[in-house]
Amino acid sequence: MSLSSAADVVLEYGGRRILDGLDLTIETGDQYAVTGRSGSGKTTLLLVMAGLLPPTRGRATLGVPSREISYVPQTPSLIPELSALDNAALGLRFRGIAPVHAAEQAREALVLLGLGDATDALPSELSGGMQQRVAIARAVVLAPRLLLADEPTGTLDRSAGAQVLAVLRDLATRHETALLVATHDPEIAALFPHQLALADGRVVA
Amino acid sequence: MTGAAYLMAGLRSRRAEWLAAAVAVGIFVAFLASLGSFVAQSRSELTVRAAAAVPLDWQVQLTAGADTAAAEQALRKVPDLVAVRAVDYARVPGLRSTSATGTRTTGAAYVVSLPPDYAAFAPRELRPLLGAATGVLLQQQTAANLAAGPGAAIAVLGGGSAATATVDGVVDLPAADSFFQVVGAPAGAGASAPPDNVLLVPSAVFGRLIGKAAVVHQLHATFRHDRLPADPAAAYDLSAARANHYASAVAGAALVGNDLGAALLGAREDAVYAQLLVLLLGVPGVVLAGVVCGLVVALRRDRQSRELGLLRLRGATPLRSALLVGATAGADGVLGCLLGLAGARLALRVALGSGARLSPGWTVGACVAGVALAIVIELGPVLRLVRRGAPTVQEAVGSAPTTRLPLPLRLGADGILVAVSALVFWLTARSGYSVVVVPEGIPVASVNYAALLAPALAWPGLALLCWRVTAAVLSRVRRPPAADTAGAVRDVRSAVVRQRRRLVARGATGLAVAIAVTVSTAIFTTTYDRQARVDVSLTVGSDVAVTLPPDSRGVTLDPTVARVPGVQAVEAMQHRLAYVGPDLQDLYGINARTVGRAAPLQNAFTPGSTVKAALARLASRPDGALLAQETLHDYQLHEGDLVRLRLQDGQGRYVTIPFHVAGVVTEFATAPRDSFIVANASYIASTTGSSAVETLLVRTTHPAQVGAAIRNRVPAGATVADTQSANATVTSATGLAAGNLAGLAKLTLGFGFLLAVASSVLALVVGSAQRRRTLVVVALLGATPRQRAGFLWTEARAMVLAGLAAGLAVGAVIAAELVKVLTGIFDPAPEHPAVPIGLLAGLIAVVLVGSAVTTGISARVMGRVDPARLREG
Ligand SMILES: Nc1ncnc2c1ncn2[C@@H]1O[C@H](COP(=O)(O)OP(=O)(O)OP(=O)(O)O)[C@@H](O)[C@H]1O
Ligand SMILES: [Mg+2]
Repeated sequence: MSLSSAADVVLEYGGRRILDGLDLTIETGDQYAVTGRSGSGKTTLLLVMAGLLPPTRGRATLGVPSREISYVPQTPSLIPELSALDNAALGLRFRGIAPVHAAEQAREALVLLGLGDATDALPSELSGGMQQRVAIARAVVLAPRLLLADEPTGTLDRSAGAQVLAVLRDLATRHETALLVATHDPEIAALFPHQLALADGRVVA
Repeated sequence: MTGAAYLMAGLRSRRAEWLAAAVAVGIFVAFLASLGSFVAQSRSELTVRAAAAVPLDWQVQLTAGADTAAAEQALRKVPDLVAVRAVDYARVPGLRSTSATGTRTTGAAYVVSLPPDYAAFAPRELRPLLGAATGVLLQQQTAANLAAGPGAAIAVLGGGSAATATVDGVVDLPAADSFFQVVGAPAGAGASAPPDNVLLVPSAVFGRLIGKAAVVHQLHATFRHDRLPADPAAAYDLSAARANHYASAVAGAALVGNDLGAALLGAREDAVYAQLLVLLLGVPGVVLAGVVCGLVVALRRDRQSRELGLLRLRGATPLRSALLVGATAGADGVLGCLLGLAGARLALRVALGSGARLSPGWTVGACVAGVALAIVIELGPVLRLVRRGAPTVQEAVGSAPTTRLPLPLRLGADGILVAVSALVFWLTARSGYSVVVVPEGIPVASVNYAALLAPALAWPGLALLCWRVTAAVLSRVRRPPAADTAGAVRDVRSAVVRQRRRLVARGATGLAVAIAVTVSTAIFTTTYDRQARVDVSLTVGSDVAVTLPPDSRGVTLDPTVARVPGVQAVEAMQHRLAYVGPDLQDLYGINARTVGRAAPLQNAFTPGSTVKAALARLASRPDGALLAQETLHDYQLHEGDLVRLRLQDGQGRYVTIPFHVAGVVTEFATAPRDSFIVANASYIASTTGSSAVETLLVRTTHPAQVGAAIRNRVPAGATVADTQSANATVTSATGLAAGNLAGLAKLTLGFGFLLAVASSVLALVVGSAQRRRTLVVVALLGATPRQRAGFLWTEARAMVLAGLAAGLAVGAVIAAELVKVLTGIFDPAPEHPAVPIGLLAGLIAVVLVGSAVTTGISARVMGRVDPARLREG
């Protein structure tokens, strides 16, 4: 089943073409790594596929309701006034999950991501990488049909990066969640079944 | 990019920001300009009013043997002179009347020679009561003493056998004190008591009547008042200088009794009080307007910092950046000034009527201040740029705000300020709130500015206290998570607010100050207004009062004449004259149990007891009497003591009647400001054999209409007064007309409402803007618009409710303090501040509605997921 698709999408910023004729369909169970140099348009591609950025031309369509899609931004995006645990549980809470259960699931995800000791810390007390992992946990506990993560390992060391990937993989196998992960690290990209390399606005591989 | 291009680009792309900043500057300019113009205008009105209240400007007394013609010649050369009249008088041993009922003789009396047009020349000196207004006139009390009226023959004792005259009319001398003043008496010697007996005669018969008595020659002069300087002190200086100049010109042949100067001297106190009012009611508002204006202008600073960074990258020097920013700020300022001038004109027109004009000095000053404020605030980022290099956009974003209290609170500044304020207040209270001291005869009023420290310190102290209390309360808000299947996430929202308590407390404090400014002004002016009304109804007697002259034998007022539609209560009161020893005093016979139905009563009227208790004591003692403090002191009387009064009986004979002191009274309906007596009407009726009623007090909510309806039902000789018609002419003891304060109140209240709403909107907009990113993130997590908005509503509710509660409390405290510190303004002093419920409800409603609308719009605007926001750090 198609979760999100782009047909001949062109995206321009002030006349500059960032995406030039993108054709991409993400189906249940797909796992993509998006690579490319800084400024090549990875983030832009993810935003289009997440349905958050309307293309200049062409069509981008979502096959599922937007709440079945989770997007983890490149820069830390936690609510600064809430603890790691509350941040991680927030998405569940909005869906009406009982506070106790939401907290339980969030704590589990945080432990898996190596943040078992930091559940009560405020974002400002966490490193950038830790904040990014809390954001991953927050997306993962929602068990979405499609998860788009922008540089989830960009600020992490090797072992933490591996932890994150393991959690994402686990999600993909358990819930058949499709993954679209932007990364500039070829080694990480190599772990994915499909790679999309961006250059000059086009997918080159 | 050229400067002009930058300006135009800024104007086009940030229209809303420009407009908001310009409006903020405009409000500030409008407030400052209209308040300043109001001060300038009301000050000059003080001079005009003080001068207009003078019955006679100058009384020039010629020294023995002086050349009258030369003195008059010199007087006519004094600038701005309008007219001069010669007035002579002599003191004679007494007056005598003979009639069918017998012969009556007075003690020493004055015979005064007046020119025929004197009543037109000085209308405030003579008030015709009975008979003709010219010719031979008897003063009212003399007429009573002699039991004589128009047509009676009066003999002047010591004037020989030919010294008789036929009375043409009976008059009142309302300004007898100053008319018979001792000209040239040293200042502070005190006014001499006016004579009890006066006969006014045409100059043609004067010489024939007085025999060999010594004659005092005077020249009475009036001047133009419209050319006096606006400032009472300066006007006094001018008048005093002219008097001195004249005295030296006639080389000691005359002494000047400068009543005009004395009145202007008195107006200094009013001027000082007016100034204090502006300081205490206006300045907090203007400061608040400045702060709000600054904050609105500062809203653009973030963006401007970023744009400046870009400009720097493109090679702009700091000086060039500064010039560019200065130009945008200047443009803001100029636009703001234009809006402000229009606003100030409108405000003045609404507050003071169409005659009000902007004072050029204040207007220019306000504009300069507005532009300067805008430029200084917007140049802040440039200075930072120059000092620290590129601005760091990251700085404020992404981290939780600190929950620490600001430094002043950690140092306990709130407690210290409030404590010192309370101490100063207590000291002021101990000194009897003598904030303004006007030493007799010195043209400078001294102000105890230390007393103003109480409110001045209370403002920041209470504001900081609000901050502390709000933060403390918010830090305790812990909502246990409920089942929450709807995903309302109340516990999460309140956790966020708890973490943002410093910001919420700051916003609430700002709002509280804005509300407190309005609330304190509203309470103060309502209290003033109520006291002014009590003052007027005291002077009139009630809402409407029907009065006959005292001891009007043969005439009585029937209470039924006052029972016209719209009347709530009518009280009959006797008004007689009674001798306490040699003193003649007004005596009021009342029904102590019912008099309160129509007469204004306040505890201040009966020192040492509530007015209710005092009247109850009087009612329980048929022969009781309330006397003036002065009388009790002068005659060494105490409560329960016997006091014998001499009253006229129904036939006009004086009879001695025993009374017992039942208490003290300082003020009473229709009573004069000096000594008088209040007793039981039934006792007076039974002891004098006359139950005649001389006064009717009428309570109604439509004084003017009821007064008019009663006017054509009363017997001849009775006067009907009502508070509405009197309001315009009666000024309180401080001379500050109620209309004056009303103007100030309208200005402060109007801008206060505006600022209260602006503050709440501003605090909410700033709060929402800070949380834009949070709202976007929450939207990404699948929150519905309702759930998103909930995050803003929780905070808005906390801030607005805390701000409202604190604002009402602070406003009430400040108002109570102001009412006490400015006790001197009130006459009589209020028992407690009056609370304008309707106005406060309106204020609360306006703030609530404004906040709700702002939060609703913010939630809509900020909840949209803007991908650009997701890229920002
Ligand atoms: N809001 C915007 N306005 C104008 N240009 C933009 C905007 N957002 C992105 N761009 C431009 O689009 C291009 C692609 O940006 P994008 O963020 O997609 O790159 P990226 O591959 O994610 O880079 P990185 O690896 O550094 O995250 C960049 O050249 C950037 O300058
Ligand atoms: Mg990117």
